[in-house]
Amino acid sequence: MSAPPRGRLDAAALARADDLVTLRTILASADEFPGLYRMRTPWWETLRNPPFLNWIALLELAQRSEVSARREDWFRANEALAGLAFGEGSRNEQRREADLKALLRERALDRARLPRAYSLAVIDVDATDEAPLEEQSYYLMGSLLRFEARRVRVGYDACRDVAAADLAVPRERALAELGVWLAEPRRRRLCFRGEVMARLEFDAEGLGRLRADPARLERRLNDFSFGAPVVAAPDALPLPLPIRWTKPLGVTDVRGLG
Amino acid sequence: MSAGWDDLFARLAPFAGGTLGLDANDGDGIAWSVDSFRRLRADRETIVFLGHAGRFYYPLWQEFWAINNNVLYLTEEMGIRSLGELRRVLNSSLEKEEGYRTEIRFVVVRCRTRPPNAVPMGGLELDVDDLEEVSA
Repeated sequence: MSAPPRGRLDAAALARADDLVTLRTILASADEFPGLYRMRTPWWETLRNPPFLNWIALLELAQRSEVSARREDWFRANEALAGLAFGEGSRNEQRREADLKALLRERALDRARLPRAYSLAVIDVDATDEAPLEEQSYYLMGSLLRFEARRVRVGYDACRDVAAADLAVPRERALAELGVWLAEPRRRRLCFRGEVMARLEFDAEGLGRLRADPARLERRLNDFSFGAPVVAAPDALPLPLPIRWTKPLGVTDVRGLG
Repeated sequence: MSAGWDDLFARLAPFAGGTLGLDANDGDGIAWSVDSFRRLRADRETIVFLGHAGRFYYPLWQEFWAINNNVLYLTEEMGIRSLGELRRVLNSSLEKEEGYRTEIRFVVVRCRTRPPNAVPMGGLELDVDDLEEVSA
């Protein structure tokens, strides 16, 4: 194999990456570094089992007139994920620096304790398509992308209809770029259906209410595997971060509570 | 598309799936290389911030593609507030995952207009003494 490519970028290029450049860097970034962005990590396997919320459970909950539960109930399931990330034998524990271990563990736990609102996304590692559909978001590198007719939405939150960035690259061109920079079979391994479908909002007393549009969920009933996990990410910023689903929070299936 | 990016993508095609490394700022530009995440490509690594009108921005291309990606997660969600702390976390992660450390340098590119495709940074306190400055 020939030597890896090398070159130079001047300051103007660094400052002004246009929409096509940005799209190419996103698509070319997809790698299979284990544990971060690849689909079949212990995280995803864990998320497939009770007590985690999944797509069919979310559909059922959304049909109820009012769904509320306390924060500790909504995020009880997250304790298993937190254990994988920060418990004994975790990657965090492999750090040399004791203060950083503690700091990162506490901050990560705070993500389930402090924010007043969360996005809930269904991430379906088993659902790929011949080509990305126009009205469907896709998980790639911890982001949710949507390939619309006139733009690519990066870090797209379909519930709030906001994105971290909208790239003015027409769909046909974007799909052509996808074929170049994330060719099959890698595209199917690394890019699969995922979309924000609901929100979880907490009041001052720590009671969390599910916010979802039942009609929208019903329309999307068969777009995801029923067992696909539903995970949470904090909604603490005005716009979503471009990459916000690499460290998702586990959500409890609260159908049996109360 | 600027000449620098044109050149990068022309050379990159056979290597899609690698990770971009920004190696060293010599005042004229920044050397890049694309290689496996798992190989140390240079003793030094550069992280670029964009500055405009008293605010700092983080470019999307770097958030997705740089070897130390997901910096925004650390600064905006995990509460990493200083460059020194960010440098420690990034090197700690590199060491535990890849078994090496690098000298991380921070560069701010001063922009005359608001940079496109970049996220405003609210969480990080950027100490100018720890930043090299270049103008776009």
